[in-house]
Order: sequence, then structure tokens, then C-alpha cells
Amino acid sequence: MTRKVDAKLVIKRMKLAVRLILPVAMLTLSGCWDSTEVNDLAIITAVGIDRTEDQQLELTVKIYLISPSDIEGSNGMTGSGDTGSGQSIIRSVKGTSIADAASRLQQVLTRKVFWGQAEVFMFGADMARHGLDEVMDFLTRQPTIRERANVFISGTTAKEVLALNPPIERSVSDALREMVNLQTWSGTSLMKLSQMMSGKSRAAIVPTVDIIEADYETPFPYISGIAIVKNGAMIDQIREEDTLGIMWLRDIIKPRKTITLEPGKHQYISVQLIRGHTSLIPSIEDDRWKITVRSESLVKIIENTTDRDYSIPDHLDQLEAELADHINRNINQAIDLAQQKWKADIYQFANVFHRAYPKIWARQKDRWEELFPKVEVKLETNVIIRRPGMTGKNIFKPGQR
Amino acid sequence: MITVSHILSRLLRSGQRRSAQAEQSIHHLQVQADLSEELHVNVELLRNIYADCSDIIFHEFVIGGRTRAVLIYIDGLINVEEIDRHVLAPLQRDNLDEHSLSNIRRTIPVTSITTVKTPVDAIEAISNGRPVLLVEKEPQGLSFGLSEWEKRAIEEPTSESVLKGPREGFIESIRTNTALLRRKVRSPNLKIRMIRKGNYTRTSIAIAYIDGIASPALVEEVMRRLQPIEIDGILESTYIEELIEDNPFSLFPQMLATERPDVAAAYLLEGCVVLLVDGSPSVRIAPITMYSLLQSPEDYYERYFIGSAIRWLRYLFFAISLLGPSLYVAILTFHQEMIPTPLLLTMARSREQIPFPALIEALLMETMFEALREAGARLPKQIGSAVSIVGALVIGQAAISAGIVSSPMVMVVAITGIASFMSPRFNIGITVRLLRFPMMFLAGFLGFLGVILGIIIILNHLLTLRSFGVPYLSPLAPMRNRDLKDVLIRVPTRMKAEYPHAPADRNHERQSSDLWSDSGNGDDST
Repeated sequence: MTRKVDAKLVIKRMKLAVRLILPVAMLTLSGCWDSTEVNDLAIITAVGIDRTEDQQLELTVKIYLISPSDIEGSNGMTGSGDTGSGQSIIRSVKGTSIADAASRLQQVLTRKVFWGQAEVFMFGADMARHGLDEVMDFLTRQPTIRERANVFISGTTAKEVLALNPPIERSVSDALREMVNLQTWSGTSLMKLSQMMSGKSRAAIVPTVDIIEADYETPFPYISGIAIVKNGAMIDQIREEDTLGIMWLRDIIKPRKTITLEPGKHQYISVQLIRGHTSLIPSIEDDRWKITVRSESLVKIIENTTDRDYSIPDHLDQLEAELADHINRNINQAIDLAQQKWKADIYQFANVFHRAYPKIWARQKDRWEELFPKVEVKLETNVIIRRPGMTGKNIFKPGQR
Repeated sequence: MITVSHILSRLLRSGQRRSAQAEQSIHHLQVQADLSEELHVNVELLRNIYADCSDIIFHEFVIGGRTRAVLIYIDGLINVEEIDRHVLAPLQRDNLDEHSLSNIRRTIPVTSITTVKTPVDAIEAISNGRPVLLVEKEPQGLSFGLSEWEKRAIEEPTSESVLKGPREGFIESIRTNTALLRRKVRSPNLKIRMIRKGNYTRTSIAIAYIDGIASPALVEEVMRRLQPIEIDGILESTYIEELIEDNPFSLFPQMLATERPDVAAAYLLEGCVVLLVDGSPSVRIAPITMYSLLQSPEDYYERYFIGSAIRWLRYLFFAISLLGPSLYVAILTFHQEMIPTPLLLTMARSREQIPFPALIEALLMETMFEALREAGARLPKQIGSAVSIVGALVIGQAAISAGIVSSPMVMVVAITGIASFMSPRFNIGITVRLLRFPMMFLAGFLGFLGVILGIIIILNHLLTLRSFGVPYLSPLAPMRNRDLKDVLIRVPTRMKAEYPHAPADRNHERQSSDLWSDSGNGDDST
């Protein structure tokens, strides 16, 4: 009986102790006192990293500026929602490493540096050629940096691109983000890039940005093509027009991509993608590594200046075959580039083999560098024309009735 | 014996405890157990007890010209006209041989006549507005159910208005209220037990339940908790609620308050006990769960999908009213990366010239809002509207122009304010409004971590809380599938065939299950 009472008493005391400890523990939990008011932040919207001639790193940030003149507008309910382009400022610091530069950044800013809203990371061309590995470590180690941010490689220096103030969007960061969203292929996020760079193939693709300098307009950036990154460094760049095969193989192609064929002289037929999907199917037979690229696409005809009538099924079949041919040519070309020219597995074949043949992969993974160029690729391309359009043949051509 | 009690009463009279005193004086009367045969002794006794009570009338008259009698009543609590016509007139005109109590009883054409045997009985009857007739040579008296006093008319309860559904509400008179209940539930199984509490107020408390649905253990538990109450007065049902609730220190109400007979009847049909307190139009219902506080009678008067949708809206805004400002403060001071960039930039711009941290800003606005709400509720209606206009200006436009608060904060406060008014029960709304403040502090100091800690603490409390033995969060925690039909969705009435939280050994069926299986046969025959 007494024992029972004792146990109860002990439990009661323990409960009391827990009740006392909990609030104390709550207050001392680490890392939670650093609250910052939003108006004490220097909100970085874009980050650019360049390599200077004296082998230093130059960190350039685009900071959204809240100017006092703006606030008067927002006082009344009539608050000005307009966001001109002159509201961002550039700050640039140099350092021996990116971390060094980042810590110096605070010295030139009156507000707390805030990385959490940086949507764009731009690497200069020199920087990319020299190697991204050091910088990527910094960028992926910080919990405050968004992994979903878009990564670009600038054709010139990153600073030059960040200094632009595109007229329509709030800042160059918004402009690039919107551009990559509306592209016909998905861009590369910081997370994707780090996965590709640290993964089995150690090769990645990153969109490149160049500047259009039109004399009638303020200069603005555009997405010009793809940079090939192998073992942490950029080895080549290709222009947007030649990227179709890469997009198919990476399965990053988006609807709205338009393919134009020229069956006859100055006769064009254009189709737009409704949906496209590629799957890579690996097989290993007697040490012959094979990949079957199976791509399915649904397209609609958007322009027809040929003499053909696409209300006739035969013509449609013919076009489907031609399209498949065209896609095959592009894919083959892209594979040749990767296997022969770059020797870089940017299509992540390594992952596919690893997944399907984990045991073989474990034995052979060190040989991947020499295996990759020898991987046989078989194409199974299937194009279906889903919507031939409202008219069959081009009814406006003089010779047609 | 008398001397002992006399000394005791003296001692206690000099003491401080008024309730004990009252008890003692009644005890003093009980010593002289019965009424005397001498009329003047009885009258003298009652006159002493009712000394300095100017509203007590001792009407002396003679029955049939021979027997002296006294009619005692409280002026204003009886129907004088009825007394004159049905009690005094027949008695004064009387020519009976013998004026025994039974003869008198036969003469008087009144339905409710009870015999009064002791002075305590007499006082009880007089206090309740029943006139008492004492007759010469009779050690007993008669009391007549001819009480009548000014009552409020049955109106729609303003605090619980509905668009559809009955508009009558309880009033201050308990008899009217039990009648309203009885009009909803006509079965003799509706039991209404009556007890009196309050040493001075002698307030009637009615315990209503449906025999066969309500668990007997529950009824016993309610009675067991009511019995030991010793209090000087009960002026409102909250007095009782506070004395019998499971956890008096909880912020959450454990009994449901309603002024609507239809709500009370609905809960009676679910096996709950309804407590009615004389003098209070608001009755208390137990046991309840958290979800009953978020349900409106309207849910059942609209068709089920509307009821379910509105219920979900209410749940959502219940969460908003608890967490709205704290989430805003937490995101704005700790987790700026969570806001979409364009929105953050707009917010940053609106906060640019605000001198206070977001937490202070939120506290300022919330306190202001609560003050305005309270001022508006307490003021007469004509001035109330003026307060709301000035208040809207103060916490709206002017505060922003003055640079005291930012416009997103005004929006958050306004949305939270609306959200807190969405809870159909006022008492849960006020609980959440109170909890909002500690949540804001937690958010301001610890960010989301603090908010989550706060939620955990609140949930923990709710999980341990019980209302008359029923877990507060049931049927979700602990999960009881059978009872889920009325929590997340309001199922169609035809699917509510079983009683919620009914004990296993009792009648489960709410409607005949044959009703729907037989309907097919009916179609065939036509």
C-alpha cells in the first residue's frame, strides 16, 4: 500500500518537473531569437558570381530597393502598385572565396543580407569555365538559400547581366525567372544542378543567358542556349536552335515547342507540341550496354504552306513519319555530341543503368567514363498528330481549290 | 435544544458567513416542525419572519362569517383577480357546516392546491408566489397555484439568430422554459427533475433529460455534482456551470450555453442533459465536445451539403481566428523566405516607415480591436454604431496614414476579427480570442516553432479535457467511426440512424432502419 502511494507521489513530482522544465526549455531553444523585421532586410533577388582577372571571386547581388518616395504613395489607399525598373540596386564585392565575398557583402550594406528570396543565380562565363564546384558547396550548404532558384550561365560576365533593368518586369531576376518559365524547355534549378553535378554522371546542362543590345530599346537579357558542364566546369555551349535533341533526351521539353519542316522548296509545315514524353530504357546484354530512347509526342499542326491536304489520313501518316525522322536526326546528333565530342553523360544514362542493374553498376561504375561513349542507342520515336487544325489543305494558295 | 440552536444562531449571526446564517435561520424554523393549531401563533411566526417586508400581504378574513382565516402572499407575484374570484369570493359566501381544510379545498375552484404542513413549506410557497391560506384550528394550510408575475415575451434570441428555423427563445421564467422544452419533446420520457439551490435566492434548477436515451450514469453524475452546491445566490446559469464543470481552470467551455429550445431539444435527443436555471434565459447542455461548439442549428435546417460546406468554412475560420495574427508575425519576422517574392516586396514597402516590430504592431491592433468590440457590445445601440464608425477609422485608414501600422496588418486583424465572429457560440469565440494573444507572443519570440509549441500545448490540454466524462475532442480523438457522421460533415438526416455516444446497452436506433429499405416495396405496389 505504501509503495503504491510512493509511486504516485513520484509520478506527481515528475509531472511537476516536466511542467517546469518545458517552458524553460522552450525559451532556450537555440536559433530562434534571431527575429528580423522585414524592413531591416536587404532582399537579394539575384546573385551573380564572376571570376576576376586577379583570380578573385566577385559576388554581385541585385537588391530590391524600397525607396522613401515609394512609401508616400502607399500611405493612402490609392497606393501606387506600380513597380518601375529603377528600384533595384547592385552591390558588388570581391573575395578570395565565395564565403569571403559573402561576408564582405554585409560591410557595404546597411541592412541584413537576406538570401531567402534570391531566385536567380548567374555564373559568369569565365567562372563557369574555371569550375563551379567550390561555389556550389557554399550555395547548397546554406539553409537560407532557395534550392528552387534558377541557375544560369552568362555569355559574358554575370555582373553585366545583373546590371540590366529590363523594362517590363520588376527586376532582372523576375525577367529571367519568367523567361525560363515560358521557355519551351524547363530550366535548371540549383537543386537539379547540384544533383547532376554530384550524381553518377557528373555532367549537367545549364541554360545560358546573353544580352540583346537593340538600338531602339534598352538592352535586355534572353536565354540563348545550353551550357554543358562536366566535372564541375563548363566545357561547351550550344545555341538554342541546336538543343532539340538534348531536350528530348533530358525529357525537359514543354508544350508550345514548335517544329518546322521543309518538305518542298519554300514549303513549310509547322507543328506544335501538345505533350511530349521521353523514357530511357536500359538493357545490358553480354557487356553491350544499350539504351532505348522511347519518345511519345502529341502535336497539332499550326501552319501548312505545302500542297498537302491534312484532312487525308495518308498525308497525316506521312507527316508523322517525317516528324519522327526529324526528331530522330536531332536525337542522334545530340547523342553523337555527348558521346564523341564532350564525352559527358548529360542525359543521366548512368542513373538509368544504376537503377535497372544495381549489381552490374556497382562493379562497373569506375569504368563509366570509358563505357559511356560506347553505349548503343536505339530510338523508338512515335509522333501522333492529334489536331490537324480547322482547315485541311492551305485554302488560300492560288493553285488550290 | 432550542437554546443550543439559539446560541448557535447568535454566534453565526455575528459571524461573517451570510450563507451559513441563512441556513441557520431556516434550520431554526425546522426545529418547530409543524404549524400550530392556533392561527394567531402561525401568523405571528410568519409575521416575525417576514418582518420589514413591505411586499408581504397578510389578508385576514372570515370564512362563512364564522371561521377566521389569513391569506398570505407577496404582492406582485400573484394574480389578484383570480384570488378574489376563485378563493376569497367562494369562501366568504360559504355556508358549510364545518370549515375543515378538506371542505375548503373542495369549495375552491383552483387546479393546483397543495397542503402546507410546516412554516418552511409556507415560506417556500409564499416566496414562489403561491398564496398560502391558513385557517383557524387547522395545523395545516393550503397554497394555490395562482402565481403570476411580469414576464418577458418569448422572443427570438438575439445572440443566436438563424435565417431558417424556429425563432422562439427561452426567457427568464423556468416554467415557461420547461414548457417550451415540453412542446418540442412531448414524450413522457422527457424527465424534468427540479431542485433548489441558493440559500437566499432559492433558485429552481431543472435537470431535463430523456429517459431511455440519456445514460442513467450521466444523469446521476449531474445530480451528484449539483447536490453539494452551497451558495448564497444563483443569478445566472453560469454560476452552476462553474460549480459543476470538469475543469474549472480550463479556458474552454465544457458546457454548451444556448437560448434556443430547438437546440436544447436536439441535444436532449442526443442523450445530453439540459440544465435550466430560473431567472436565466440561457440553459446549459452537457456533455459536449469541441465540435458541438462549432455547430450552428442552421446546419441542420439547411440541406446537408450546405450545412457541411458552411461547417467547413467555420472550421477554417476557427483556425484563422486562433492563428491569423501569429502566423503573420512569425512569417514576417522569422520566415521571410516563405512569402512569394512580389508579395514580400510589397509588404516590405508597406512596413518601411512603421516604427514598431511586427509583434508590437499586431498586439496594438488586436488590443484595439478587442476594445472596440467590447465597447460596441456594451453601449446602447444608438451610440454603438458611432463607436464602430470611429473605430473603423481608427484601426483602418487613420492608423495607416499616421504610420503606426501597415496595411497588411490591418487586413490580418480585420480577417481575424471576422473569423472570431464566425463561431456560432460566443463562449468558444472568446476563448480563441484570448488564446490568440499568447500565440502572438510565441510567434513573435520563436517564430513557427513557437506557433507549433502553442498548438501542441492547446491540443494537449484539449486531449485531456473532458465534459462530464466525454473526451472533449471525441469522436476524432479517441476515434469513434460511428459518431463521425456529425463532425466533419453533416450527413443527410436519413443516414443518421444511430445516437451518438450512446452506451452499448441502450437503445441505439434513432429512426427505423426499415423506413428506407421498405420504400422500394412501396414503389412496386403503385
